[in-house]
Amino acid sequence: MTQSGKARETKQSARERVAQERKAQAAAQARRDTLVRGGLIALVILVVVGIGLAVILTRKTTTDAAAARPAGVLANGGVPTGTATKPVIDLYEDFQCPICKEYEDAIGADVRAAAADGKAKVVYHMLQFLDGNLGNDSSARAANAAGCAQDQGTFLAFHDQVYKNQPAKEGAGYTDDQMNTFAKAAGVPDLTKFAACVKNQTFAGWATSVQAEGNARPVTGTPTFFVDGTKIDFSAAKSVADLRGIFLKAIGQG
Amino acid sequence: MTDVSPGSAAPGPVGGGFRGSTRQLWLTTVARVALGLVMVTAGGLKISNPDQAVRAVQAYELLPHGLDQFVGYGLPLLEVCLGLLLILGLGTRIVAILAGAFMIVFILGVSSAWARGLSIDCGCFGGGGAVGSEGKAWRYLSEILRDLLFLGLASWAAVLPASKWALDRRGMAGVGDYGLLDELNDDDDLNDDDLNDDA
Repeated sequence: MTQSGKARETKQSARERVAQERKAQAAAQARRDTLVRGGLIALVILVVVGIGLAVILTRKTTTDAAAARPAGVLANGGVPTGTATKPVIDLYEDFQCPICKEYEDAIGADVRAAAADGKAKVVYHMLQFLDGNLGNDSSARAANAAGCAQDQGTFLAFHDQVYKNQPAKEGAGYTDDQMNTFAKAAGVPDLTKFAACVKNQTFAGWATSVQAEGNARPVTGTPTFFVDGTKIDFSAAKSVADLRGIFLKAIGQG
Repeated sequence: MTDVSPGSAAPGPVGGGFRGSTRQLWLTTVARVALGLVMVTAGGLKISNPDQAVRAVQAYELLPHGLDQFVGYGLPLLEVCLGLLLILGLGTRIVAILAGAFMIVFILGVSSAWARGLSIDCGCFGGGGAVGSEGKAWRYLSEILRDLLFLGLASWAAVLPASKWALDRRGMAGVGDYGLLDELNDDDDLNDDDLNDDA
């Protein structure tokens, strides 16, 4: 088992030489690896950003300034009710929103009265963002239909019919047939014209612009009430009954 | 024994410890792929509904108007990039660190919304915006706990980035990842200790 010292030395230096060589190889390999990896990472980022941006740009709300608008709507797309000019109550709702229905049931009559009695100008903005969450297009179609009703001067009655018949299960949505039924119950004068307006989505572009205006405000949930631009904070309400007091106080009638 | 490996975390139980063991390599693979799938899903859902993503950002009431749009569009893109890189096992350590930072930002955002008494959905997997206040504490808490779990996965992958089925390969200076390519090029293996095979 003994080896001569010289042989040991030779083996030692050979080992070091090989080790040096391997080190250099490894360093070169590491540089190549870094380049390849950096290239792959850049490729992944480019592909994701490219495809992602394309999806975002095609899916984000775009508004068509030339879209048909129902008679009597404001420049910002809202539907004004009442004879007063101030205070202005801006109300953002979605026809598929269950909490909106709760608010309608709790304070809808007070909102209506404020407009009817000339104590406030109530402006309705029917949004459609729940479509994206619920995976249907009922909010957008209902908003268009509300525009069709507004065009014939019966927005509020139609609006109330939709909330009255909101499906118990959120996301069940509305059919066009239901829209026509609601219109009949709401007393829309020309039902044939209304049905055509619903079918052709005549005011869909206007409805989209209402959503875009809400996005820009920004309205992050529904229902949202503004009195002369100040959001009403309902967070102190412990029960549905408290909503009424908070609303009346906010419009200066508490 | 001469250690000629330029990286650390060489494959095989070098010191006989957990780091570099087959079990560790597989556990890191599970951690990074799981976290990657979560991030790709979460980001993808936001990208598919960009208006909603912007609304979710606005609901935190942290950013000025204009910036919210930038974040609403940009953040999901970044999220999908990081998730995809985690799944592929590319730049695992740095990507895992960034993913962890992401989770910390989310946890801070949700905590601040909670502390300020806002009642919002975190918008983590799409959705977002104002919601009813029922079960608010539990919702915020579960969102934070979930993000902490993801932060744990990210930390694991950052501390032990070497893994199986990764496109990273060992030998990249200072990173020491162990990837698929190594298994394909096993003769490159720097830890072949044949030289030390004393007769």
